[in-house]
Formats: sequence, C-alpha cells, structure tokens
Amino acid sequence: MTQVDERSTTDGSRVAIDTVTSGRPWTEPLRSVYRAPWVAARRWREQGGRVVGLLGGCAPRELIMAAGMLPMRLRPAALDAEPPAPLPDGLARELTPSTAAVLAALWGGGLRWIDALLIGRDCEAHTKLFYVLRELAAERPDRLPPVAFSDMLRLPSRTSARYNRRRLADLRGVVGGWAERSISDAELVAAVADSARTAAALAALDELRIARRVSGADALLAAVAAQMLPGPAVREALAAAAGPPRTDVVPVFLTGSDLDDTHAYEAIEQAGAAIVGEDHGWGDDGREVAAATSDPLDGIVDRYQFSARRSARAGLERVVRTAERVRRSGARGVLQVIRPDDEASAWELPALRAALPDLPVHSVRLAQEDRPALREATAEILSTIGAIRV
Amino acid sequence: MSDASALRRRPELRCTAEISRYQRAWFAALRERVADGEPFAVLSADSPHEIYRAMDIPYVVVQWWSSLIAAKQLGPRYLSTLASAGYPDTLEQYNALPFGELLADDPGTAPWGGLPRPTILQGALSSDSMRQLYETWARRSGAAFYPLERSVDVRWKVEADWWEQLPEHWDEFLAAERLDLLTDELTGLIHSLERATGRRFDETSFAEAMRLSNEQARLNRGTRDLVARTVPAPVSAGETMPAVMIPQWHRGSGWARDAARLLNAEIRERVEEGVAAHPGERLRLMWLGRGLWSSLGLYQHFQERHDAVFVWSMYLGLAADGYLRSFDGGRDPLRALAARFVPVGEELRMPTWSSAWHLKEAKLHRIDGVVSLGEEDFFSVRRLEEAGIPVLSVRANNVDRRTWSEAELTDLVDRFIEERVWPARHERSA
Ligand code: SF4
Ligand code: SF4
Repeated sequence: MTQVDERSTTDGSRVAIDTVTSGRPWTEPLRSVYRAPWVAARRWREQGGRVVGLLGGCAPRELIMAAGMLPMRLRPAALDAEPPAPLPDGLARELTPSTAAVLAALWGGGLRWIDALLIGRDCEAHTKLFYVLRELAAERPDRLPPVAFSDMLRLPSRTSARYNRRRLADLRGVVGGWAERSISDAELVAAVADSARTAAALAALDELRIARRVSGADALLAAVAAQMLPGPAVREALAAAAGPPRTDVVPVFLTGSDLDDTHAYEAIEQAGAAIVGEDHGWGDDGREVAAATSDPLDGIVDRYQFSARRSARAGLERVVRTAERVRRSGARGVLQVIRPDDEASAWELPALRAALPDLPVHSVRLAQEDRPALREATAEILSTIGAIRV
Repeated sequence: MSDASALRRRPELRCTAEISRYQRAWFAALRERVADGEPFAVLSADSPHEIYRAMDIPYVVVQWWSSLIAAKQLGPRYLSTLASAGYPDTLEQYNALPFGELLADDPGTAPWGGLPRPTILQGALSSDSMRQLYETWARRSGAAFYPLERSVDVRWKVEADWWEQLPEHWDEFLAAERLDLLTDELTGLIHSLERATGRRFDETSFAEAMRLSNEQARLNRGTRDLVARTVPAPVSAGETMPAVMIPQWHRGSGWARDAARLLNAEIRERVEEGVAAHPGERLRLMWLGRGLWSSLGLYQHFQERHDAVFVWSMYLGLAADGYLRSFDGGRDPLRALAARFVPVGEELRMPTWSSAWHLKEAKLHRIDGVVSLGEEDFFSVRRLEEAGIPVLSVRANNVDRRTWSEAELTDLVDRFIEERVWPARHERSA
C-alpha cells in the first residue's frame, strides 16, 4: 500500500509515536525496521549477506530464506531515506501510487539496499510493474537490480496447482542464481520450519490481541516487521510482548485494502476501538503458513494458492474465511477500508454483510492517498465506529 | 453532453448493414432457443468461444452486449442499478453492465428485448476483481461460473514481434507451461460443459471451427493491408469497427468467415474503383484504445472538419494480427486455441508488445496522429512521438458516459489536429 510518508511527518506526530511506544519496549526493534528498513538491510549486508526486496505478500519468501538471503518485504512508503525524484508524468499514470513509488525509487537510483527484487502477483498492478521494469531494463540494463516475478495462481483447481509448482520450481533456480548457488531440499525444509516458528509467535501474539492485551497497531507493526526481519529477531521481540488487558475498547475487525500504516490503526484505536483482526495482505495472525510436506515446494505452493488474505484476485469463498476470522476474533463490528487502487474489495461487501448478518459492516472509501484524505477518512472511520458501538 | 445529440455514423459500406441485420436476426433466434430451454452462455471476450461454437451452445459475448447497452445510452442506468444494489459502479464497467441489466430486471427497456438470463458464465481472470464480479453475477443469476486463469509471461526477455511469430510459431514463441495450463483448463472445461449441458464435444466440429476462424483471421489480414496501403483510405475506422467485430463474435462459424470475406471483397472493390471514405483525405489518424461505440459518427466528424480520417482502430488491427493460429503438421487444435488466448491482452497492455505493435501499425497505415482514450499508453506514446507521430491521450472510459462528452472530445481533437498533427506533418514533409 502507499501510505503517508513518515519521513515528512511533523514534530506533532513524532511525539504521538513516542507516546504510543512508551512502556512497550518490545515494539522498538520492530518499529525501527518498519520506519527505516534500509538500516537493517545494511547491517545484514555488512555481514556479507544479501537482501532480496519482496513486493507483495505472495512472493514466496521461503525460497529466499532457503538460499540464505534475507527477504524484506518493501513498504512503498519507506523505500529510502531520501525521497526519490518523481517519475515522468505519463509513466506514473501507468501505475498505482504504490507501484509508482517502487519504480521511482528503483529508477532514481535508490533502493540500493536490495540485491534483487521479487515481485509477487498480489494484484495486477504488480504484473504491470513487472512489465514496465522489463521494458525499462531493455533500455538501461545497468540501472536495475535483478528482477523476477512470482506468478502464483489462486483458483483452487489442480490445473493451477500444477502450474504454480512449475513456476515455483523455476523460481527456485532464479533465486539460486541470485545467491550463486543451488537451493537444497534440506534448506527449503529448514526455511519452512523457521517460518512456522515465526508464525507460531505471531499466533500467540494474536491471542494477546484478541484478549486486548496488545493493540491492533502493535499487532500490525509486528506483522509488518516480521516480513522484514530475520525470524530469530522477530521471535525475540515477540517473546516480550504483553500488556494489561483493556476493557474500555470495542473490538473491531478490519477488512479491505492492504494497509501497512500503523498511524491509520492508531487513529482508529484512539477513537475507542481495538482492531482485533484483519484479513488484508499486510496482517498476519500466524495461521497461514507453509505446511511441512515431503516435497517442501508442495507446502509452499499451498500456502500461497489457498491464502485467504487480500481481496485482489480472490473469489467470494474468501469472504467465508473472513467471516470465520471475524468470529474467532470476537469483533463486534467490521470495518472495510478501501483504498483508491483497490479494485476488488468493494465486490466483497454484499457477501460479507450476508455472511455476518448480526454484525454491523461499514465500508469507507479513501478518495485519495494523501494525508488530508487520510485524516478525513479517519473521521469517517470514527463515526462508523460510533455507529457500531450504539 | 446530451444523449440525443449522439453523433450517428454515416454508412460507408453495404455489408455493414447486412452484417448488422444478421446480428439482429441471430439474436432473436437465440432468444427463442433459450426460451425453449436450451443452455445459454455469457462469455467474456477473452474466453474460448470456439468450444461453445463446436458444442452448439448458444452464447453472447459480454463486450458486444455492453457495447450495445452503451449504444442505446443505457450505461448510466445500469451502473446506478449496480450501485444501489451495493456493488461498485466504477470498476470493470465493461464486464459489469450486463449484470446491471440483470439487476434492473426491466426487459421492456433493455436493448433488443434484453439479454436472457444465463445458465453459464465464463470469464478469464484478467483483473483483480473479475472473479468476484462473475461469481456475484453467477449467484444472482443462478448460472454456473467457469473461470479460467490468466497466467503471466514471467520471462525477463521477450521478443516484440508477436504478430509475426504467433500465427505459425506459437508453440515456440509462448512459454510451454502457460500453454499447458490453458490446454488443461480447456480440457476440464469441455468435460464440465458436456456434463452440464448433455451435449457432446465433437473433435471434428471443433477442428472445423478452428479452421474457419483461422480463415477469418487471414481475410481480416487482407482487409487490414488494403486499408493500410490505400490512400485515401477506402473505409474509416468507425465503419470497420462494427463490420469487423460482429463477425468476430461469431468466430468459428461459416457465417463469420463469409462476412469477413464479404467485407474484404467490398473494400477491395472500392480500392479498385477508387472509392474512398473521404476523397479529400489529407490526414490519417489512429484511434488507440476501446471504441466509442455509442458515437461511431464522431470518428467521421473530423473528415469534414479537417480532412482527417480515422483509418485505424485496434478492432481490425487485432482481428488481423491477434487470432491466427495454424495447427498444421498434426498440431493439436485445442492447444492452438489455448495459444490464441494465452497472450490475449498482452498484445494490447504489455508495453514490450503493445508499443512495438502500435508503432508498426502506425507506420503501415501512414498515420499522421494518434488519439488514445483510456489507455495506459506511456510506452506507445513515447515510441510514436519519437517516430514523429503526435499522440493525444485522453483519460476516460469508453462505456462510461459520465467520464467524457462528445463536445469536449471533439474540441480536444480539433485542437490537437490544428496544433500538433498538422505541424508534425509539415515537419515530416519538409
Ligand atoms: S492493490 Fe494492494 S498490493 Fe496491489 S499495488 Fe495496490 S497496494 Fe499494492
Ligand atoms: S454498432 Fe455497436 S452497438 Fe450497434 S450492433 Fe454493432 S456492435 Fe452493437
């Protein structure tokens, strides 16, 4: 998602961040990678490691881990310390704000902290970005890092399952090329096991969140950071997560567009809600994880093919899974936040309402990506929550 | 913008009227067949109609029906029906309009008596929301939905000259796993259709449908070449759009092949007799993007005003370059069909392919200026402009009349011709 640019944040919000963090030191390492991932990347690379930037949540990070590299999912709002030069007008229009941000960073010579880029097929905007990068690279091959695309299909059919396996096997070769070695089955098994340990830690955090002992903003922070940091660092931070239960907040479930902006979560929660779960592509309740299978590629494919996260390219069966997540979270209402480049979520709304007849489901469309629009939308969110509380 | 003022197309060809008459009669007959209890499929333009043709399952293509809705100025009404039922009205309008019609449930005002309620829906998952849209539509209509995946060309290096390679060498030019995927999906689709309709898929009929569709594509190539190399152009894009597209929606039938032949013959006759769309032609224009089906006359307006003729649209261009897939030498016609649909959309939207093709077609047609509507066209614009061909990019959606008006558009194009096309033309001839 494209988010408000934190680097341009005024002193006022800086204070807000500090107040929010205070008393929860376990969030500190998570917040620093969230804010400035390039610092963690440089540290990793200084020790001789390589970093692969992932665009999207369905680029198979397990492959990167198995190759001994660090997969860091890119936040389009935190790509570099310096803002990139703007893209030519027509080129920016080809893309969504978030893919344009990634392209601007790459093309402007930024993002030097990644050694390669793996784009997942979260949405067709990612496909388009891949095509655009390929076209630009044909002109200026020196200007881009190696790029690959992960085409994981989502239909629950055998034909898609077969195709996904072939793609993943090919990608294994490509990623091996980046690491200049081949990836063994044992390494894949180890990567899957490490992911499962992190997922278990996130699942435990999810329980704390449902008990309202951890805020939705912190849970999101953890989920985002877990897609950037090495597993052991994430687990170490999460092991210390806890807080006193809060009874003065209304549990709400968040659905709709991918959201990696903890400020948006804070805005909602400061108004008296607790976001006790979400189904968008940045959240992670630790419940979608590659199973340990005899052929490790099987478990990895299944994880991505059958994911119920993110609405883009999903079917309505996802709504059933979302409803289950809502029930499990104990939410008393559902808030759907739709960002401008999200073409899919709005189609889910009637089905979601039908699946949760006893709960209020409110939908908010953010007209724009900029900060005033976000503030305005937050006001709408607040009134929605007000309605839910009645 | 007032609907009543919609610019009507002045006919240029005899065959267009004949083709349109056939379309009406065909649709009336289809409605009767469906009323008699036959299965009825509604298919997205990028799904393999040829299978339905071979199984004699009556079908209508969504995009054709949507263009009819737009032509009858019913778009805004169906979009607001969608919105009031809680569905989005600003996404996938081209695919969603007939669903809006279904929800409006008012056959009295619907085009041509209305689209019958489908028993089968088929769509390729070409956008983020196609699956939800079609599943919703299926739920609300009671139809079975058969989705097809849309795979991505993940190769880092792709050759650009698809129009040269695909017709004969598709099995080497396209990635094998993508062909395997769609061939396997089509095999499954055939079984599903056999079970759902009780009809048998006959290989002989299918191969024949594929042969006829290839013949149609070859005829369209010939037609395109005639238009491209003849100055002044024998026919304008506003005329070829319906004359090409109606037969395209009947691809694989003898009638469609014959219609393409008729079109080709009439244009050839005009070329031989020196009959032009606009004898005073001084500028040749290209229309990039989806057509303004609700005001085809708009294309002709610039002839009187500037002696500028729209000679190119993607409709004839793609019909000429996008469909031919030979399956001689014992190759499987079902895999050839997959090869027709694996790259659909990439020709138009994958910059490596689209920009190369647009430039090639512009040069072939001796284009002086390009109007691009609602397209992601950065790379095409750049290449065309580099070749000295000015481009006007307009942000609008062809079937959503809320996003453009004839008056504004005419004004933009008028100014574009005066301020950019003529100067560029003078520069080239200097
Ligand atoms: S739709 Fe979501 S995943 Fe796709 S580019 Fe936009 S924010 Fe990113
Ligand atoms: S001109 Fe357009 S709307 Fe009219 S019949 Fe032909 S395709 Fe349909």
